[in-house]
Amino acid sequence: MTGQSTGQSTRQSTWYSTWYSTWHSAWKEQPLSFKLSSIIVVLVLCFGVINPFISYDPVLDVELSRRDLAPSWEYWMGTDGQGRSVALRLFKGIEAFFFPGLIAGLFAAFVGGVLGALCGYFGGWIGRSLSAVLELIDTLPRMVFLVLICTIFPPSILLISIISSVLFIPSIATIIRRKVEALGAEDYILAHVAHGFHPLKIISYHILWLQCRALLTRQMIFVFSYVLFIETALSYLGDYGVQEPYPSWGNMVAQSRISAVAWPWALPALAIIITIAALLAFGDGIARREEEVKR
Amino acid sequence: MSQIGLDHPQQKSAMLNEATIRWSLWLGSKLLRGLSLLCGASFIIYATLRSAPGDMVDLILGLNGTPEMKADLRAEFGLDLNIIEGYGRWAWRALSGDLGISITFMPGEPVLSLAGPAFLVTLSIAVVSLLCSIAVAYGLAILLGPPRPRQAFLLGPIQLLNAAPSFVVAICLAKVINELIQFQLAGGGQIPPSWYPIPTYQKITDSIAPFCFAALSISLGDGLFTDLFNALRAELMSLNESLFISAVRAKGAAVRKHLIKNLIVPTLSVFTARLPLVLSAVVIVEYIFTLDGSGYLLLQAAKNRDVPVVVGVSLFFIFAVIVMNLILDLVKALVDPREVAKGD
Amino acid sequence: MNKPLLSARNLHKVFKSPGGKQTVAIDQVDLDLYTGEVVALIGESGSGKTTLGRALLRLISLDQGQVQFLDQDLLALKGSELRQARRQFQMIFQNQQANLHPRLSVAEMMDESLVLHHPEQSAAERQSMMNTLLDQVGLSNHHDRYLASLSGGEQRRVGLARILATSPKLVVADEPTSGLDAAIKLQTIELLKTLKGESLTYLLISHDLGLVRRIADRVLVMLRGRIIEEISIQDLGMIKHHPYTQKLLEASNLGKKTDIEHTQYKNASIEDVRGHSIGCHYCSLCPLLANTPELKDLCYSQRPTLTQQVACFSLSKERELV
Ligand code: SF4
Repeated sequence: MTGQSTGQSTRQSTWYSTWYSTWHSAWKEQPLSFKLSSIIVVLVLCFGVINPFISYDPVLDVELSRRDLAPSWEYWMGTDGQGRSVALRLFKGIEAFFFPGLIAGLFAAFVGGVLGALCGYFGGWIGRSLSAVLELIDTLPRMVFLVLICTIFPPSILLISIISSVLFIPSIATIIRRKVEALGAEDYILAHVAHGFHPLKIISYHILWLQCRALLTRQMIFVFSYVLFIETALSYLGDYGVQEPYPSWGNMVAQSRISAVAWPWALPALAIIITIAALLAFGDGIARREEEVKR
Repeated sequence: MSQIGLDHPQQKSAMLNEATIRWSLWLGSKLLRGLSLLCGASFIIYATLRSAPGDMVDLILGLNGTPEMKADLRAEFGLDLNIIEGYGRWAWRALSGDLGISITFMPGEPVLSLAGPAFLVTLSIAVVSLLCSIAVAYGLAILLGPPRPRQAFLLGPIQLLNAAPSFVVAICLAKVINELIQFQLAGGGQIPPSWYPIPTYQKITDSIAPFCFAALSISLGDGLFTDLFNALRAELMSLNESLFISAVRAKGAAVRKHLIKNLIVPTLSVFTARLPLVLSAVVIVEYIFTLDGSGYLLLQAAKNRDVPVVVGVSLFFIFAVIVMNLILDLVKALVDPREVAKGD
Repeated sequence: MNKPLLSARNLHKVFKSPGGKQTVAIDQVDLDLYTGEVVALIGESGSGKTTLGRALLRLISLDQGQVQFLDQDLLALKGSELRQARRQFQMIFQNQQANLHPRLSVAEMMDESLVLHHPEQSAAERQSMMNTLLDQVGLSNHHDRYLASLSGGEQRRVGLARILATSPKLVVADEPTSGLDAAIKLQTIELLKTLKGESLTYLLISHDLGLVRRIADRVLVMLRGRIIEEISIQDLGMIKHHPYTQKLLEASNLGKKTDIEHTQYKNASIEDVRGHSIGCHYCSLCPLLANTPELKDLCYSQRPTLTQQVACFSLSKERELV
């Protein structure tokens, strides 16, 4: 994507300086919102990845003598009603949605992309019946269906995230399908057919990978943020998500019902808001960038 | 056919007839579509029920089920039949208004009489918040005019805050109001004012405040407002600039009338597209403000593992979305009959 | 005469628009291409040239007809056989951007083609082959460029290099010089000529008669889906042509496109049940009918077949006599 700006001059230089200069010039052009949101997204990613390596025992953390402490150097975000460090719990709470969200996002983007491409490229009988099934899934109200699933099956956040990713497949598939249909009418795709490429290669590489990856990334991020939303919501409700004493942003927010002070619930609420906003802005930014590059 | 003039009465009636046929065909196809969607979606729910691990009846009734209750439940869900026949039996009963009875949450109460009124509350919250957001979005769009770079400073933060999930907004709202009131109460020990949303409230008829707060947090959350604002503003701008409007303006005709007529369809589309999401959001927000709508009912029933109630409420949601879509399609077609003329 | 490289018989293609209207794009066309020759297909836009070119390469399905390429029945090929066969016939698209993928660099695209068509080669061999090919088309240091940063001529040449990577036997070139300025046009023509060599066959689709005169051996004229005249390049402009060809030549001598409106042909001759006209498509505009009014009925009601290399009742007879 950034090749045209570097061209010949950088061919002699080392790979990392090339990489750095392209990256740097690309970064400078981005709007402020994209910069901020990508910083937050990277932070969440890093925290999510290192999370499993940091052990945390929520029971040992209870220490009533230091309850409801205001934020200080020792406890950055204060302590909650049971004397647990809010900052540590906030950090640990990422675990509850991080991997499920990642799995759900990847799954939805992959399946949605493939189905959408198949519908769009082949059309006809297969395409129509596939899109009928997808439309059917789309009529299910997401939240309500998830509650139903939780009532019937033993609830686990992984199950919830998989189901929610399935619920998102139709909308992703529709978006990809439109894109593929539009591309299928373009001459350069016909040129690839004429050149003798396998149709599967054209769909998967020339169309999906080269032309739809920004869209798919955006949708993936969207599903991730939905899993974050649904996990926190269910944990807030307290029956299906992460249960006390294990931390989740949702059940931390639920402390608003009992907490005497604001920070144990307001900071997690803020974290939810900022993270979701950053995720969405990041996804939009990627899609917008890709569109600009195209012109 | 295309050459027929309208002067001859006979031909005119022929045209009329053709129009009626086309309309009824269109309506029929829409109805058929809605019906098949309803069947399909309810089948998914039924299949989910059937695929529950272990014996579903034991799961539902727990330890306290009598043998008759078990037999009853088996019959209701058609558990002794294969999945297709069972679905047929269950769907038929559901269609004739028998959604079963509540088991644990409100034992003995028919699900229909629980879910029906509750759903009206939910639907009205959703519709009110959507309509208000649309109205405010249009107002702001007209006020701000076409996008300018400076507005980013105003709109950026709004969009950022608007990304918050509605339930977080609701919690914050509830909490803030709670604090405010407590502050006042500490001063004088008065009775809480009538708009006080949370603990004193018993029934929906007692106070409209929780309803308003719920609608407010729905509008402020989930990016609803910014999405609507962006979509409707783009629509408004493109329409405003379109040649069509300038032609009308040149003729000196009333622009506003044309604008409104041309905005109805996109607005309805936005409304239809957003309704399912808003309905989902209402579920938790109702729970926070303890409004006895179907979201509250759903979550309470789910807490008590009351499967018939949960299923009944889910069916209501599906039914409502499909019916709303049908109605909106019809309105759209009435405003802009080209849809019908195209035919399927 | 030796066996044709490609021979098509009785090709027929009707497009149906959603409104139920039918347009005959290819109307019972017969066509032979011999190894090493350059055949130009001329005609105004909308005459079905592009459709015919694409149909011959199986990019558009045909309603009827046979296409024989070497010894293969082209229309019967499927799946991997078809893809195998495709490397022997390639197409240069009219839209120069269509020859390239917008998100791949020149080198990536070339490599992709080489991997596809020469899977046995090592990476180093591919690299050297890519360099040779790009040198051949005069783009030796454009490896890292993308579609957006190439000029129209360069885009075409990348397309050419890519096509050459498959070492094809037949190239259908659809308006290979449209949208290029004069100098680049000349360059492209020279390039096409040099690349041709001995065994490559071109089917050149163009309404640029200058280009046609430069490189073609034989010219086919198309009018509304039919081939109405076949001219060897020595005869072009030297003999009495079909009135439509005449019109095309005159227009090109004046340096403009034909000013015949496509709609003018409509409803001219007698139509069959499906509304497709049967008679000569040119009958309503034909100057020859003024001299030979006795042919009028025939021209309006019967399709002239390609005899004596022209599909015209009056001219065929004349040439027969000569
Ligand atoms: S066939 Fe008849 S109408 Fe057609 S060009 Fe010849 S003389 Fe003219």
